[in-house]
Amino acid sequence: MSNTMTGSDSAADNRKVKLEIKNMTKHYDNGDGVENINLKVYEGEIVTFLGPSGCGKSTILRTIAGFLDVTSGDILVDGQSIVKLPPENRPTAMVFQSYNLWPHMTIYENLAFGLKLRKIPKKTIDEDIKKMLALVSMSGTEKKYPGQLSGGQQQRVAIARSLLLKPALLLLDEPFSALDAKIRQQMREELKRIQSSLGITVIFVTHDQEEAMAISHRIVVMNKGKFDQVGTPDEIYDQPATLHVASFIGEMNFIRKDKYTIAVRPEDLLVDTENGEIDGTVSTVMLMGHYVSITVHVGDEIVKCYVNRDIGDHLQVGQKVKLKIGKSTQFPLSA
Amino acid sequence: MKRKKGTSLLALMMAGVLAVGMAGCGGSGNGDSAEASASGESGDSGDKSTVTIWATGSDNVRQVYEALIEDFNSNSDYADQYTAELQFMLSGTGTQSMTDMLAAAYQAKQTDTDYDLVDVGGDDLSALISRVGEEAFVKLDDSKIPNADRVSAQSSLAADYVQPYRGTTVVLAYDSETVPNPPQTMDELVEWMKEHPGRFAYNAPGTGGAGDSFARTSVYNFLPEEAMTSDDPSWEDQWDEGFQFLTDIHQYMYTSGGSIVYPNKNQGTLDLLNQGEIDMCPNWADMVLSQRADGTLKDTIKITQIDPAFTGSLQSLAIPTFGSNEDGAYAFIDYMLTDAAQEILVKDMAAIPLVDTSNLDMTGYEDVMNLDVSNFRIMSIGDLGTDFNARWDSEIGTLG
Amino acid sequence: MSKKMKTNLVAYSMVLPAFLVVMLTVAYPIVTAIIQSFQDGETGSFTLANYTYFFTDKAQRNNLLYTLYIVVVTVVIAIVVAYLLALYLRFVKSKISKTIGMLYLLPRFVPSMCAVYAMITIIRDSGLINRIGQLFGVDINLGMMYHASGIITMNLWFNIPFAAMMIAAGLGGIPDSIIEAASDVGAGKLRIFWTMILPLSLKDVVVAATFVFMSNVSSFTTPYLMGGNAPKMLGIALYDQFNRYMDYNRSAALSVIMFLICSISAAVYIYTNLKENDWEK
Repeated sequence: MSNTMTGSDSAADNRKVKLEIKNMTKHYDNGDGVENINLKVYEGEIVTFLGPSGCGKSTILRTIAGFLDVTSGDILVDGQSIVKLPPENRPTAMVFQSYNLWPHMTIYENLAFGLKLRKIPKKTIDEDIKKMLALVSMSGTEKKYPGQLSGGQQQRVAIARSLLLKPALLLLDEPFSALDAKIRQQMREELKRIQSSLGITVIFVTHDQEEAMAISHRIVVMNKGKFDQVGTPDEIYDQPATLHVASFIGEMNFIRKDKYTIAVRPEDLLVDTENGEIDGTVSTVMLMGHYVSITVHVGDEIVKCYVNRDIGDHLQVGQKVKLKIGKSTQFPLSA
Repeated sequence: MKRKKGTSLLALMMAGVLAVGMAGCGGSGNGDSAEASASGESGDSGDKSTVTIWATGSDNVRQVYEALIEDFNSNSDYADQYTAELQFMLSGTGTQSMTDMLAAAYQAKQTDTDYDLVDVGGDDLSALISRVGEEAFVKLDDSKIPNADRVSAQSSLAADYVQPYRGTTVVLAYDSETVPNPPQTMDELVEWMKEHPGRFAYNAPGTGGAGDSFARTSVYNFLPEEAMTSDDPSWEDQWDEGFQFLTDIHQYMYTSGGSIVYPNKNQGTLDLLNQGEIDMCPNWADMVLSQRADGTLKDTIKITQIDPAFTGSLQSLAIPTFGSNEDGAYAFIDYMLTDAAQEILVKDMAAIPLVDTSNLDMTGYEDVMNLDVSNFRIMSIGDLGTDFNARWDSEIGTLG
Repeated sequence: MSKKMKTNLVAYSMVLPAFLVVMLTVAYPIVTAIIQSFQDGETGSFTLANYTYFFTDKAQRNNLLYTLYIVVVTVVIAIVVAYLLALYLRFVKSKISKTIGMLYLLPRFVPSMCAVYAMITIIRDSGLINRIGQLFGVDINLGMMYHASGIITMNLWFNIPFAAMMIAAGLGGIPDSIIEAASDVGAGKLRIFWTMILPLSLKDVVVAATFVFMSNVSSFTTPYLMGGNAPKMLGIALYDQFNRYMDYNRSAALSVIMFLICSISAAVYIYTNLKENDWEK
């Protein structure tokens, strides 16, 4: 399968290309790595690399940031090749999973460090920091040390520190994965808000498909060092390009029929007592709130369906039902 | 005892402060206290009674004693009457010496201990006599030591109470390759030093007997003969001339790192001699000869005595009055004066035998035959030795 | 309350043996030695003479200065070299660095006596280096035996692995992302060292330095086997007072002096350990 899938970017060809990765290959000594990567990221986009750990998503991010050398290929930002530049000279800024902030410096010192290196006047630095802390809702923490902040607060400051340098690209390497679920939700919304108010281009790496769906303009689903699919969250969800994508994103039933595996979401199965293509027996019924989750035995397989309460409330365990497949994707069995 | 208590407490403190620095010095202290091992009478099933012999010194002393005791227990005329056992204390491993233990046992009025026979000599003997007196030992009855007639050498101290069995002396060790004609007198030696600056060394007094002997004889050559065996502090007033002599020859001594150096320990100078960094040094005859026989010293290293001689010493055996096997002790003394025992002493530690050597196999130790025990200069200045070392350290050691 | 008291009693009784051992073997001898150091050897009356001797006698004063000289030089060189070694082990990933990482502690396992003799056979004027020189017709006399340089060399042999181990542990605690974040915002290698790595590892450096300092103030084996006659290091001077001159009051005074010198460094150590930096609160 080719890695040069373009998803829906044909309609956006007139947008400015911010980052371009051309035939990039990175091999590690142990044989792992990524191969023949091609990707264009447009100005103002949030593009997420999504995949299980070890799929190579962080590798690509670190080659963009300059912490890893590429084996071959090129990386361009605003049309300029950056592969030969050391990290400190690249127009990128990175936020790490944790330990972003320098523990022996105050928040102010953390934020001012990069600006001082750029010989920006102190007055400007002070003003910028004030504005930026307000943007990430962290005003008034200048004199604190990182150890005195919560994990979420530290990541806000880390984002602020990166943004202060006005990078062409903001790189985020699983920045919220060390935070607890509730804070993670907040931080996603926060990031989206900041991104849209600044219009900055963001490359985001995560293994959390829900997070990817929530914040991305486009998602790159990766598996074993290769791109499986590049597309908008809708495209990825509704038209998974591979079985891997289909199984990795959201809930999915795989039903074998003839020479195909049919991938269908639980909400795209119609449950009826009379009309339908597939016969089955209800094995569990669970009320989830505004909908009902039921499982149906179809031969040896168990199929999950989400139905409205007006249907679900009438179903009982052991009842014979018929399923009708709605929106779905077919994959040949050999695939 | 008051002093001793303070001493051991201080030792603990020292141990604390020096703990790191001392690591590796092999601090296996002399764990056997007199009290702990007082039950030495062994329960042998036969009629044989056990005689326990106490000795101290370097490891070669332990080795020769083990050989002697094995021979005594299996081959000697007394083999079917007595079983000898060794209690050995390695010197330089702790502050409590065998002398301390003997004195403590005597002063505590212990009786029937296993201090059946003790090996004493040199400073240990004089220290012991001055602390507990001759009467701590059995006045020897020569009729119980038939072989005593074969020995003419007499201890300079407590002669009736101790039986000498071997001798050793400090000699001039030299490399015959670089020094074909070694000096015969002290004056010739000084002449030689002046002609060959940097090629002579003696170890710092207090770190080994060879250096002590060189420094002390150098000083006492200027004093009347009787001063050699006196611990009267008034003799210290007459040391000046000798120390001036040591100061004068200082400039001709071994040099390293741009300054004159007196190595630590007898082995220190012997190593320098063996490595060819010096051509001559005073050292113990037995050390040189046994190391040469082992092959750790070059064959070209020889020994000679100069006139006036360096000091030597007789090693003796004595029977403490508070031991428990006097007859066994006599038997062992008698054994030590046989040709068999004397030959072991020559072969195993290059000791100078005290019996007529014509019946001994002296192959490889012919050098020993030229050292006449009757010429030994014995020196025992008791506590003056401490003052001597201190004065040497501050006057000579600091010359740089 | 009675149950709590019972627990307390059990706790105290468990600590008691260790407490008694410490009191008996550490506190009591120290107190006795301090008392002894203020006593006249003959009369037992109070005197400061035992102390003034070590500061007024020229040879003893030289011993003190000589010891401090050797110790300070040892500390400075050992820490600098150990720091470089630790940096190399932490930040260079190669087969060589891995091998060094496995081997650099080896000197700690060599008995000090063996190590000193081994060093002597190499550096002495008729030693290995001299003999290699002879092969090329050069007579190399290092002059390191019986000289401060020899003792310092030996001290470095003992202390560099130790200091490197402590500093490496400290450097190992600095996450990569801290360094990468600095590099990301534009800091070069040297600036990252001065602004990140050094401040974050300073505590370990100070601790390593105090340990090296303390262990060398009282060192004995090395100066005994490699040192000259004068000046001497304090360990040897103490040995002289104690074993050769048998002046127990001066020995006690010198022990206390050495103890005080070590306490300076111990105080630095304790201060560093107790003092929380603002950012650690």
